[in-house]
Amino acid sequence: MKILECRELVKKYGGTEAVAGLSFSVEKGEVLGLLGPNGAGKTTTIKMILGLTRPTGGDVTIDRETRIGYSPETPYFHPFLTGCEVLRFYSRLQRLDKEKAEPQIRRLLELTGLSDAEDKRIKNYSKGMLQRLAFGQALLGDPDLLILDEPTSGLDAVGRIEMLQLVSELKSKGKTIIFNSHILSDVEKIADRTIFITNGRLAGQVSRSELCGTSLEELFVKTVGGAGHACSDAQYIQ
Amino acid sequence: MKTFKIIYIIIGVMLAAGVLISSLAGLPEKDRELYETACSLEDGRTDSIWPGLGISDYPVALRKGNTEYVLFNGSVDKRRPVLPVIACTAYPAGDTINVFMPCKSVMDSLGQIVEGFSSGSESFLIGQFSIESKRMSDNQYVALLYHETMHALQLSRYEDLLTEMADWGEEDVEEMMAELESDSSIQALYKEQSELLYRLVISEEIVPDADDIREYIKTREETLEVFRRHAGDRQGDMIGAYIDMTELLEGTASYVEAKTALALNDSELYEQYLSSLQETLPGREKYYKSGMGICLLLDRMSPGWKDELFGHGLTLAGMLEKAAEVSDDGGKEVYDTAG
Amino acid sequence: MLALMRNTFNERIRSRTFYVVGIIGMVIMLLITTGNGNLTINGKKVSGFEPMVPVALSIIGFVSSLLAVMVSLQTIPNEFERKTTHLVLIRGIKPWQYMFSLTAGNMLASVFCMLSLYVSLLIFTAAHGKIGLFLPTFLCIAIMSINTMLLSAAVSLLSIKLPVYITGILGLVIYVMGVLHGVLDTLAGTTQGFGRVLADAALFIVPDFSAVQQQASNVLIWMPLDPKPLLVSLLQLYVILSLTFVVFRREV
Repeated sequence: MKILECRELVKKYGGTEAVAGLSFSVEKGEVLGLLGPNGAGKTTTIKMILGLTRPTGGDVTIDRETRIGYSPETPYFHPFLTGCEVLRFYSRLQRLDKEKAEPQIRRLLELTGLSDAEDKRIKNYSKGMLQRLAFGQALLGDPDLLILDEPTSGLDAVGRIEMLQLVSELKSKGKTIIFNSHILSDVEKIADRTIFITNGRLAGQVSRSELCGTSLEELFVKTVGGAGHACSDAQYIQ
Repeated sequence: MKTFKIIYIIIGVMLAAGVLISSLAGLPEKDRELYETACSLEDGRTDSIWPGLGISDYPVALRKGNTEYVLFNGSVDKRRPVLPVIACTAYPAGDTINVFMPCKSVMDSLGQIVEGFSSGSESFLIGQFSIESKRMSDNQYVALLYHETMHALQLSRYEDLLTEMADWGEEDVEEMMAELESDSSIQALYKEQSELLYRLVISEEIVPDADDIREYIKTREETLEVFRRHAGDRQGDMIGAYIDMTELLEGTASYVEAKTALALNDSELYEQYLSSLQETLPGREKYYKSGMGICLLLDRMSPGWKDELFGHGLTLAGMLEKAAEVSDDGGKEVYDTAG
Repeated sequence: MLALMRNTFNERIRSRTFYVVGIIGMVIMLLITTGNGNLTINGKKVSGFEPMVPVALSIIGFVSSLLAVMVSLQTIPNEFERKTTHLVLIRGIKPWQYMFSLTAGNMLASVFCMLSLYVSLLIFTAAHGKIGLFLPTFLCIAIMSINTMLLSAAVSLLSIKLPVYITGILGLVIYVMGVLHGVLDTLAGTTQGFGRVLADAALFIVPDFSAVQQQASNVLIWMPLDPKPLLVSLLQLYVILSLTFVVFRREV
């Protein structure tokens, strides 16, 4: 069952076409990897899915009941708040029940390894801490669809491993995840399916089972490295 | 969210209704009260101000924003402003001569501007940026109303005289005088005139001393002489005529202002008018004050002078000089007899 | 929306600029009201309760308006620049709710700044034993808060679309024109033609802070209150707040 469908998405900024007729869908419980070079239109696509920017053409269909969590590439929080206050603030915006929200906040702080820093002001957080907090706030309200934009950015090696483990756990709980990352090995480890975007268009897609023998990196270079070349090794899922 | 939207809309409707209702209120209550205070002086007190002067004889148009409220014969009518700008004046509108005044709140604002520029920028700024801004007193406003009513009376009774005066070219004379008045000798003579006049007006003698009056008149003539020396005989005569005309029209109106303050039992305001005699004011305003001062002297020296003044080719200064001669010839006895 | 308002309020009152300007204002107030500042106006020394009150009210009015502009100037632009908007809007908060809440938060913070300055006036009043003036002073403060909220809301609205420095300049222009509204209106009445039309249009848009100040003054001296200027100002505030429902930056 499809939880998200994008049909012929177009986004123009003046004369520049950031996204030019992108179509894809995401099945419920699937982890979809987004790959593409800088400026391919990945973040713009994510913004259109989230409703932060209106598509110039095409449409995005999401099940109405779907709760969405989003972890941005560069997380920004109000610098005068503490980590705990940030989560509390966003839980209020989501109108979460106060009694249910507090234990959830405690759990998320523990999950993201920020329990010791919960009373520290955001302006004193490191990049890695901010990334963890971004992940934590994305999980508020137990969302059905998670959109993670470079979730391992700024994390050290241990942090990356922990993050990927968390994402795997979420996947095993049946969460649908859209995972955007530059680190191909991360995508290869957890994504059920990966789509390649270049110049705002879908250049190709491959499922995990179809990789057999070929690394995602090789496929990526083949698909995206030469402009306009279709990938002969990838098979497209109907 | 629905509740918020409903409450928000209700608040908007209530505010709009409140503004609409308050806008329909018409003439501010304050101005209505002030007009009624002015009319109340017609219980006989206006006779002591000027014979035949009555504010209710003329439509009084009080201007607020782009609306004029015309008070006449017990009714208040709204109309679009007749004059293109805010003004305190008397002017024909339709068949009648109207008295035009801004509403009290506008006068307060005008007063602040004038006072601010005269008393210094610090006071002005504090006045504007503070909530405690200076205002014109109610009695002062009523006195001004009567000042303009006096002009209405002048217009209605002495139209021919005023028409003749209007052809005069006073703007050229004012320009000429403004140039000449920077001369230090003229400034000194003006100062002497003001001080002499003030001393005469505030003196406690029932009839001011004739010699003092002659000294005052002599100073005036000396001033004119200096004008003549600088500008020539013809121009000098024009200046003299200009001064006489201004004293006749504006001096009498300023006198009416001061007497209104007395009729309202506002001795403090009256004293302010008297104090202003000492000041050497710029431009034509000094003749408003000198005219007022001469009228006050004539009250003591020549009862019934008001009936003789207009339409007989007399000037205030001329009447004063004549009164001084009469005084010399036992005019005090005449005064006492006249009561 | 309340969470957003509270968050904005908390952020604004923690701003360093607010503390600097606020403390300077309070120090000036305390110096003047305790007579330790040698205050002269047009060369005349000012001392004593009655002459000091208008001076104190001038300073409070000026500093609190300056604070209202400074507090409201960067709230909304900051939200867009540091992209804190993203994590708010994805949570089902509509753009109009967001802008309205930020504006309301600015207004609350501005009023808070104003109240903190009026504290020194209340201390000054109590120190002179004029306890009976407390009630009219509170009413006066309540009325003056209309001006503060109006200025804050106007600056907040402008900051949605305009660059910060232009918003700041416009905010100060609105304040000065609003305070001189009565005087400018009177002066406009003495002109004719196109200049008059232009002046009337500008004065229609700019809130009449002077009329509200006049009513606050009436309350202080136990004179009758004219509700019309207050209702007009509140209606203008309502219109500005309503505009926050429809004005938004296209790209977040």
